[in-house]
Amino acid sequence: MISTATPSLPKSADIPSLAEVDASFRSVALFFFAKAAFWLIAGAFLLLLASIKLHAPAMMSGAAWLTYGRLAPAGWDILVYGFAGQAGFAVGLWLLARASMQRLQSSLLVLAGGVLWNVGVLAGTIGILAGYSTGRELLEMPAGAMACLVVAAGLIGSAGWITFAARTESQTYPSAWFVLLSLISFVWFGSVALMMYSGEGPRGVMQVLVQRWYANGITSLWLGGIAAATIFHFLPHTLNRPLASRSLALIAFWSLAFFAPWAVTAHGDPFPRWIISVGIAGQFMASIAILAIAMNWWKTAEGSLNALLASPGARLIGLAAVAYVASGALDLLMAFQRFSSWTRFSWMHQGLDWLLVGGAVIAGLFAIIPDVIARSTGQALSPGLVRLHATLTLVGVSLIAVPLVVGGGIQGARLSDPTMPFMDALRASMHLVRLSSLGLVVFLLGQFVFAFALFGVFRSLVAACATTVRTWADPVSKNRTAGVRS
Amino acid sequence: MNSTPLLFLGILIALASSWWGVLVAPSLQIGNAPTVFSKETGQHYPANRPGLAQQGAEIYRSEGCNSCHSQLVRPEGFGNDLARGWGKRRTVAQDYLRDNPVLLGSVRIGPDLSNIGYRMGAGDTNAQPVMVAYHLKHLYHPRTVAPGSVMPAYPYLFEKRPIQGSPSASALKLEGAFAPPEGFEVVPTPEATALVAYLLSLRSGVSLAEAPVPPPPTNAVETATSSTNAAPASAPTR
Repeated sequence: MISTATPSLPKSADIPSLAEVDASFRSVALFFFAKAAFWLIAGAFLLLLASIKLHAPAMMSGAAWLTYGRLAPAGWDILVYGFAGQAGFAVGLWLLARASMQRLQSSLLVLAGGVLWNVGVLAGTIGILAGYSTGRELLEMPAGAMACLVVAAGLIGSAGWITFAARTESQTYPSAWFVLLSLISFVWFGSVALMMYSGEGPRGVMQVLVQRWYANGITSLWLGGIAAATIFHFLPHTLNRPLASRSLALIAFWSLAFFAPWAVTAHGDPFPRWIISVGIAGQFMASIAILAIAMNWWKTAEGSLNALLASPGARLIGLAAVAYVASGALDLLMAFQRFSSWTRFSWMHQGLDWLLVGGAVIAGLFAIIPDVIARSTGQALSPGLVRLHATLTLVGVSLIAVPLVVGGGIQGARLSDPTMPFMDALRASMHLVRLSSLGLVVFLLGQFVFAFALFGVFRSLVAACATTVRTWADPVSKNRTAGVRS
Repeated sequence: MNSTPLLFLGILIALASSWWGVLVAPSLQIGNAPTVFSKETGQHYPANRPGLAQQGAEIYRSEGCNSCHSQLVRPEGFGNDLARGWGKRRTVAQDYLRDNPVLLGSVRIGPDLSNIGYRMGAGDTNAQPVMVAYHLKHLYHPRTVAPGSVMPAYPYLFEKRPIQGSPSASALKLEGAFAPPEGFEVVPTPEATALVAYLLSLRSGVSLAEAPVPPPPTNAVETATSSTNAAPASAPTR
């Protein structure tokens, strides 16, 4: 049943040009990026409100939906599902289609999936803000909304696999492997988690294991997979040299796919010891992947690091690569008992989330998005706005993530003295949390700039469309056209 | 890597292996764990929560309290949760058997709540009304009882209403800037009462085989012995 032979390649007449591959993304790119840009502003805004409430807890306390415990998970879920997941699908499919030298297949499936995905995110966000959160981290959205997301990801993912299966390029690229892994991951982790929670669901701490397995799986493979794919694509592309080692990428790919989903436990968890040990061992094994990836990227970029400062996209991809490796390194440190006892439950947890999602995924996606838009629609985003957006995103994400990681370290160091009151340890790190709120303001401003730039593209597309319609409706030019045709 | 079906199958096997190792295998051991009989209390542990506390658990979930509070006491050597007095012993799988959803939490912007039910009243039965009043005031406006707290206020779980006749028995005793205007009182809604009942039901102090509670230091000689004998490092584990 399993064929090991390379698929028979179509005749050269069937091989589309790169321009045709890009053009097949026009509607998908416009739909996905417009929605993603909206959600990114909404999510960053809710997270900013939540962050401000840490400094002024009595502010806006009259309404239930404005409480920190609802705003923070809603904002984060919007960032993950509304932006990172959605833009990640579009960029992932684009990378896949280009690596396969094939037009996007079944784009109707992708658009249908896109509509369903946004319905799911909207319903889920309203659910959390209205108090129907499930309380499970990253799975807070009510089951109905999650089901929409899983079905939508299934539709989008199958279009990706169909496109890959119809490829005209015999060689497969690392970026394509990571996209394919990412496309399966969300459907797999989402559907299994939903099924396990359905009915009576698991008892006791098994619920925690299911939630952690899901959350870890989608961050490391679904989002992390897209981040790795964008960097694997962009780094050789922008430096204009081949990837250092294909076999190292292969090792990284399989060790990530096999081991990363095991890293679900932390020291001190209320599980039987062996379960904790299995999770910690998984974390150590997964770091093989991070190490292999880091070595590969380093060897590719070595000697021309200056080129990574040359353009806004290159700067973003540089940040993404550093953030990806740094978050993997911090994850590995957390697998050590002493480091974990010190920093677990501190701000470092949120810092780590921001490193991966904000740094590796969002920055990595934004390095490619302007290119996808320009090539698929024929209308480029304003270069000035793209540069401004890249700078604000870079500064914003760094200002959010670094203070949270450092603040977590300070908080943990203070808490390691049992006589230090809890509140005092928290207060000692609050100035850094304030800095990260400032980072959120910068980040949010950047996203307004991007939305404005995207609006510019839509305006010129509408203008171009109107010109076409006017030419068609204008009898003089119509006659002229007819005359030319005859 | 050039065969689509092989690649698909490989990824699926990779993902399924973690599902088997992380979820299926553990559920064979702890998925159907029974409650255990405690000689100390003469009851099975853990018991179901009373109805009001169960309703409170829903409020805890829906307000997202677990965004800032954990419910997990780590053992000795894994952070100093015990030294902080957040529990008499570490929490283990058995403690969460009746919780749905189980809200361990992953961030501590506020302190751990595993044992908030007895931590402030020290087991004194007369302390119950005092603790209820404390938690209600804390929820209404945390800074009334904990100056400098970063916890959000929950005025929407309370009703500010004009006093009709004599003041309500359940009205909060608020002072200074937090007091309602003259002729008004602040009374808890059923949600606030339920949430406090839930908080007071949070206690994992029953001694278990896998997590024994060290004997309380009642006598100087005994204390000296027990502190060596019952150190968590030498505690029997299953």
